[in-house]
Amino acid sequence: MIKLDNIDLKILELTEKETISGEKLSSIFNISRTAVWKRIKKLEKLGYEFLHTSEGYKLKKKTPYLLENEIKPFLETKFIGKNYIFFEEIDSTNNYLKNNEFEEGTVVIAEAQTAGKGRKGRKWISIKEKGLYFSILLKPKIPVSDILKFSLIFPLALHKTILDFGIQAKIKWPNDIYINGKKTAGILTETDIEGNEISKAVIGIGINISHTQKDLHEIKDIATSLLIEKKEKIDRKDFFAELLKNIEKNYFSYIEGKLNTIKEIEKNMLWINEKVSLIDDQNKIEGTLLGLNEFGGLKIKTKNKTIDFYTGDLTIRRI
Amino acid sequence: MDNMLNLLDEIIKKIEGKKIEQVDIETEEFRISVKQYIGPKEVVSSSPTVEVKEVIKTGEKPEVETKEEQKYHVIKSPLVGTFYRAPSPGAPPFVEEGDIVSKGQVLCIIEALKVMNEIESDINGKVVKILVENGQPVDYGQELFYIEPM
Repeated sequence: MIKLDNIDLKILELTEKETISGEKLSSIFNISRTAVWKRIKKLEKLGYEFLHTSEGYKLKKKTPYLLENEIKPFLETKFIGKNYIFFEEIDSTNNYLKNNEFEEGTVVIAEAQTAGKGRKGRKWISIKEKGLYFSILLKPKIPVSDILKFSLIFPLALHKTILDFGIQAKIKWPNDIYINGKKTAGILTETDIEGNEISKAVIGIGINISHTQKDLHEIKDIATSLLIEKKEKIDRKDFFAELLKNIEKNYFSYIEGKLNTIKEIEKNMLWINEKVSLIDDQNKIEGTLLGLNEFGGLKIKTKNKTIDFYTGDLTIRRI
Repeated sequence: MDNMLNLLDEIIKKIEGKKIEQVDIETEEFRISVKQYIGPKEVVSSSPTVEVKEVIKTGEKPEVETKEEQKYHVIKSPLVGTFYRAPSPGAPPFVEEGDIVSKGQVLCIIEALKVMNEIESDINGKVVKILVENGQPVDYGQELFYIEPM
């Protein structure tokens, strides 16, 4: 876990305004010049860039990393992200929230995940400074059977945020975001249910933001990024702050009964009314995608009947 | 003293609902020992218990009826989805029949809409029967496990 202390933050603040000598910094904080030098080195390792001159240090460039002190000024949320935990690298942000106890709204973010998770133990590839890989801890007071409908607030928030940044996207059931037929974001939610209570819901979100075609090399035919689609840079901090705001907004709307997630998903759904296949383990079903049932399950009309599905990978049928 | 009480409060909150039975903290100034009552005996549960009546009939001999009445706690599926006995394909199952489980222990995963729901036991007991096979779809309210309270 990486968190800058008050001295680090003050060094950044002072050197942003003007060039300051190591001697002056050491007297301000009453620490040795070696200690100052060590802190500058640490900040540089975290992505900050300083000019080193005979007069001292001057901050040249802020870090691209999503450190707490960098993201907090952008946040407009009431509780999501109030507790914010940053890692340069972690196995999985979902696991970290699952295995530890934190307050509701805690956000864990990592520049890279070594064991980013998808469905059925599939991997999610992460590249530092390029994507957003984070998890949110929620403890929604809703009936357990509503968790599926509730889980749809996240793809809706993601879809809305991408739209806000001027990119047309679709939601692929249940919660992937597709742009021009390629995946750009995915969500994996994990809950703890005991009796009739959701004691914990951990929502893990991965988004390709600044990846180039080269970054995505072997998956470039099925994956894309916001940069590739918009053809211009999108600031990760802006995007992240906007996304958290939209998630929180949806959360409150849902709790207040003002958000019909089923209806909203259907409005923005990929391949609706088209011929699709749904593959789960050895089973493959083909038919027309009609929409969602009352729980958020998929309705597919086959030759003889309409069937509801809750798991599986949806693909378009190419004739 | 206040600090110590706060600390005590925090520890109690931290271990709430967990399997930890005892926490000991000793420093130069003080020693705190927290024990938690984790059952078994009376367990308040929202799920109903089921009565299983086993009737054994033996061949041509005069009918002898053995009534074995057992009260099992039933874990039902709280939602629709696919039932998984292990955290990922190839991993060992969370529980087997005959295992002793404690309140809060994960019994299975029910997946739906890419939401992995870890269903935890709401009582301490022994897993007597697992009613659904791995990878099968389950309905809302479908019986999943019989647990003998302990």
